[in-house]
Amino acid sequence: MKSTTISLKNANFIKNTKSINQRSQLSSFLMVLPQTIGFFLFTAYPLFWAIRFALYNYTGVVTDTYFIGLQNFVKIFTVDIKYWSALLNTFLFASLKTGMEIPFALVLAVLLNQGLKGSGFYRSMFYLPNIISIAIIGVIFSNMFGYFGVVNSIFIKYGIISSPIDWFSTKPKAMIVLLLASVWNSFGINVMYFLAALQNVPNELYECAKLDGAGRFTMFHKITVPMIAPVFKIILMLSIIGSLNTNDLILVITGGGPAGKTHTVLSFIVKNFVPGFADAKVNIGYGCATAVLTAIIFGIITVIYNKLSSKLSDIY
Amino acid sequence: MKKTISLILLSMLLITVLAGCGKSSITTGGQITEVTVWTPNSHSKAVMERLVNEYNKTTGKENGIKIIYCVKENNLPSVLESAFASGQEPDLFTGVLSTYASSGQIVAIEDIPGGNEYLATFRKEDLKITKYVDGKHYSVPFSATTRGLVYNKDMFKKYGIVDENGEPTPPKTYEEVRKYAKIMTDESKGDYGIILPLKMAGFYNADIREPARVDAGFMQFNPTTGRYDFSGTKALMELYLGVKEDKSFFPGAEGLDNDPARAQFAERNIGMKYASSFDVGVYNDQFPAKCDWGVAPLPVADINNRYKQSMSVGGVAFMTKTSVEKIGAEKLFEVFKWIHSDELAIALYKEGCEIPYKASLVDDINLDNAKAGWKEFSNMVKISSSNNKIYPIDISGEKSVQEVFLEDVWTGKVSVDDAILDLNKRYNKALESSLAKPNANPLEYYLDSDFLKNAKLEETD
Repeated sequence: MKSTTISLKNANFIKNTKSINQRSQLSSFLMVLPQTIGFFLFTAYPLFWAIRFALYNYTGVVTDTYFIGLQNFVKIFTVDIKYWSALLNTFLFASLKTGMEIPFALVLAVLLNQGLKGSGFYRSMFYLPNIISIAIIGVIFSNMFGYFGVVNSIFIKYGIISSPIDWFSTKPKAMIVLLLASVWNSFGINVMYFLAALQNVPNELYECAKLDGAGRFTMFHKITVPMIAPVFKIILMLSIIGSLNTNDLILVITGGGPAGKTHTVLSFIVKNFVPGFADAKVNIGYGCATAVLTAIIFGIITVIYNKLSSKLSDIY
Repeated sequence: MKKTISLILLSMLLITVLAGCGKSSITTGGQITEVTVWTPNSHSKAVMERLVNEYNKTTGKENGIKIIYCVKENNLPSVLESAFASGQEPDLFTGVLSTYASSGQIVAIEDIPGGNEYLATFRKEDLKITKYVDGKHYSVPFSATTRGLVYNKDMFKKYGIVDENGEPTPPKTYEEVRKYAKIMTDESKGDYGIILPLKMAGFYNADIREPARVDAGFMQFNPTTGRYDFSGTKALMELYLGVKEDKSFFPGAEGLDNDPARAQFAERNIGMKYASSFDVGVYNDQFPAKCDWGVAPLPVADINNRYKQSMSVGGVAFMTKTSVEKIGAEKLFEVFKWIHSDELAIALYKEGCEIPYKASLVDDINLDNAKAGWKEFSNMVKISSSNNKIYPIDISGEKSVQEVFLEDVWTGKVSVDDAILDLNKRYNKALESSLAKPNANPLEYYLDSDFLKNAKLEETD
């Protein structure tokens, strides 16, 4: 009798547990459903759409849409110098931007982590450019570096230059403006990431090091850097991906000029193949092919980066 | 799958995009038929809404028609694509002829009862631009966007470029443009002869291709030979290089888009700028010009060899094929005729919204309070032509003509002659590839043996 009661209780328990699990599963599915729908509608569908039309001549006109196989890709590799030039410029831009931004953000984060007076104010100020729209940043920097802009006025006033500089007439000068605008826009978020990582480094480590007679530089080199290495890896990856994806800033400030020399690969694609930016009857199929190829190249870069930086995850 | 996704997207769009426009082609109470019209023309929205309202209360009421006029300011082609996919298309709309005619979504005027008689009221020459490759007409020209050279009268007076009465004399030739630009440039005073918005995406189109039609008679595609030919742009490209050599242009041209360039023209001492009739609104309302300015016909390389200027045709609307079945051809055509009518063209001209394609319509209209430049740009219709069809080619992956000018010619890397040789070669090669494509449009559709003869500007024009 007793064993029957226990087995009934067990059966009820199992039934209840199953019911809870089912409800839990259902609510889990419901919670991920909006994201999943969003993913299929706005990521997967456009992705497959682009892959499909990369194999087509497609101008938006029905009679001018037909399958051409890999011809678009062949053209990219055999004819299109502009695409490869924009891709090379993307790497140059990303290297310079990351090279400037990461050390700058790290230094500022270390300074803010000292608990100095007014740290909160500076933290907010550093983060502020990150929430300003790219269009506004474009207008600010275009005007600042315009021929009659404030930068030239200050340089002339203090005798640094005798006549105004035409900042957008050559590639190096235009790249300086773009890099400054881009770094100004995004260094704040990296300061926040670094600060969060620095605050997780136990103080005891520094105290022990001090007892052992370690100097500031040694502590930074031997404790801080290794301790924030896993986060550093993520920050660096986000910065590289962000830099490679830069396009709106280029379109707003230089429009790819002078003579298309400051285009990154994405601003090049947007300006030449996205309806609204490009000519009315452009071959969107070719634009899709450049986009697919770019995605593959960026994917390879990410894989290489993850391989090369794998050691950063397990220093400690 | 595609249809399902389109329907889901459309249901979301319905709330925002289609809000306020209602469903098309509704007959209410068996009396009034609603006819929906979609247009991107936001500049004339308020005036059109008033005129449509008047029509609905008068002629429309008599004929049992109510026009629902909707201005779709944001990317009308995309909205139309979704609407057609889900059967929510309007009855009439503005768009690109080849896109909708090739897909059979619009109906030809010839296929509507009374259509041929209606077309007979137009000059054959005027209908060339709305004729599709199948030989049928899907719309008719209504309004025009003309081109001209805007010039700062105060600057011309200041530097003594005036006639015996002290009135400014704008340049008639490129030689004069260069000469006057040089005279009016004085960096110490902040005075510059001309402004060139080289950063503008359509710089080549707006400041070289279209203005150079006065020299060549056509725009890069010669309808008499059926070949691409850039030689007609040589003189204008050389003018720009000359202006660059003289340093008589507003500095920072490479970083200058059209809006900042227009703002600079309005704000400070700049002698000349190529412009379009829509710039009237810019220099009167958006960036009110601080100077006294005028509009001159486009300068030419050789004053004795001048062709008609380029102008664009606007206001053309198409009739949706499905609407013929839903509301009947008669009512649909009635609205079509009204939105392309002389009466509406004159009303919109008086309000400063549209320049009629038929120049004679406004000959006797005196506008006392017209905005500066409006009459001058309207008069340009008489010396302009719009029917230069260009065979579409695909030069993806190669340097476009704009890139050749900015990257090679302007920078001095390549001479104008070499650039033209290269362009002629590459564009004609692309033309041959396009002609070899399956379903390629026949070249004959783009040919016109009398084109140059008709494009010549005679003394009487």
